[in-house]
Amino acid sequence: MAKLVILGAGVAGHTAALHAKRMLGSHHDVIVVSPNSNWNWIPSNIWVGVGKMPVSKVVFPLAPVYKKKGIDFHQARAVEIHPEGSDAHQRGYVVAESTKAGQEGTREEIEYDYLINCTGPKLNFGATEGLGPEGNSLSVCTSAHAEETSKHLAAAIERIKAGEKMRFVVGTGHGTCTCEGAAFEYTFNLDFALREAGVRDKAEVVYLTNEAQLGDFGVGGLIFTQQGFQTTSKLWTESFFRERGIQAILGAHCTKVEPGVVHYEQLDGSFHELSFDFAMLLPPFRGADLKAYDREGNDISDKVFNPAGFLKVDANYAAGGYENWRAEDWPKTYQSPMYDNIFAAGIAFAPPHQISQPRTSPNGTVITPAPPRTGMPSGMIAKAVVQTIVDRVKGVGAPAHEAPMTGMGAACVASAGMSFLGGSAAAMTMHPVVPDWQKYPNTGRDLKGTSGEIGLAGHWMKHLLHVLFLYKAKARPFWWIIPE
Amino acid sequence: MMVDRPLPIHQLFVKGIDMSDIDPQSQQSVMAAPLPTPATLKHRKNLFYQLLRFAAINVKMIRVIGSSHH
Repeated sequence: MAKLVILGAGVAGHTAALHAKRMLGSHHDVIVVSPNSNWNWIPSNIWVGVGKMPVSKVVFPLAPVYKKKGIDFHQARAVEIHPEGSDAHQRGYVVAESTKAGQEGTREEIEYDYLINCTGPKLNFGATEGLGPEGNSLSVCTSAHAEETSKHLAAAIERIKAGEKMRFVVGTGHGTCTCEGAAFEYTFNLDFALREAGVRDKAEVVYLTNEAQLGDFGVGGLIFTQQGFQTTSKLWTESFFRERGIQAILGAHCTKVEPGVVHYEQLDGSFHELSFDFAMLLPPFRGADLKAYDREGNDISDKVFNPAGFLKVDANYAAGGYENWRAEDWPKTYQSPMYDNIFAAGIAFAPPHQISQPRTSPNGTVITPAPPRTGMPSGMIAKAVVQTIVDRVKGVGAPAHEAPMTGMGAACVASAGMSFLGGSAAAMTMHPVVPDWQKYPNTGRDLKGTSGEIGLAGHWMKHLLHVLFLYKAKARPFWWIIPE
Repeated sequence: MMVDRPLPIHQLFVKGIDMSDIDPQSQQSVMAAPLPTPATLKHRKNLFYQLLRFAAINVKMIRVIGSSHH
């Protein structure tokens, strides 16, 4: 009997757990260790954050699903990995601290034969002074954050109706943030909410981003075909900003958020401050606070993880400068080079470098989006890793399954307003996620698989994805037919 | 009342920021981008047309998903 331990129960961890149990059956143990008791469909937090959807529609408790599927669920935060075991453990094991009410901090040691690290991001609000809900700005990264943000928005709209004029600042709270797509979505949903409330003409909406140009989205932008021409996501996004009357501040690294004032540095090295009445600024991510120790108890975290705390996998971390970057730098199997029974999926794996062109201000400040690896790629990577482990458990001598981000596409639907008849969204596809300039020298991506369009149909698509992925995550009948 | 059109430029700065104070290069780039025509804006909300686009987006996404799952 093999024992598979999965750390984390987000898109990657939950996908891995459900597929692993389905493929391995009851003869093998699948154990999930996650500090959260609920699963959250994070893309719909945007709608919670503008008061269009209650929190209950984007979360559900994990324990009943895992009980139904025969998955062992430990509501706990993994804090240590011991890949070589110890005198007391012949196998590798994980140390986890309970987050269950009444048992907080209780430690347990869980042995494994295979381990998948799907711990996702640590929301690093501390990287910028005053950033975050405990500081002076808002967030939609968790359902609780989004709910709080919606209350602030409702109050702001009331103040505008009472005669005030207000400035809303939405974007990234640090020069190395990722998830610019989420900031984009919140910006346009905010614009939509203000228009619906009839107060848009009394509000300024400012998009403050670390992207050097609009439409970068952390993937270096897109080139796609529209009405017989190749166009760029830059022009396409700028047009949307102009249409909706949204101002943009680009190439910005927030240095401090004070009550009502955000301070930022731009790529040209200049420093600015901007007053606001409402600010939703996303944090940068870092890896979970997870340490690794060898059999003798020596700390080997710097060998297992990169400096940001993400697990090193089969990527080329020595590519050097931007001019040397190649598609082959990106990992394929997501296996740790040190321990062949440890894998990472989703945000938890260490990318070899950014996807967007790296940029630094004259003051030495890095202002470049980190590579996104959420959503569809996250689920596909998790499934490939599970398939590799299942093969090994069953003694199939096949090579490891591969899911390189340079070979997979992604569908991204960025909401721009939630309404069944009046909403809209930017529906984008890209193939591959990481551009391959050797294979596609003019565009970086396959034009047949890369597209973008704005309209009501995009909103229907976004809503359909919400329904399908919640159905799948709840492991309802035939859930596995729904692709990642 | 729902505002369903581009805002006049003077309404972008209701708090009185001057464009030169707030990343003038970005503002110029945005203001130089093409605006959708009234017909395009109508198409984006036309139920019949959007039903067709919904089907087309589904096909595109299925194609991308299909080419990514090995």
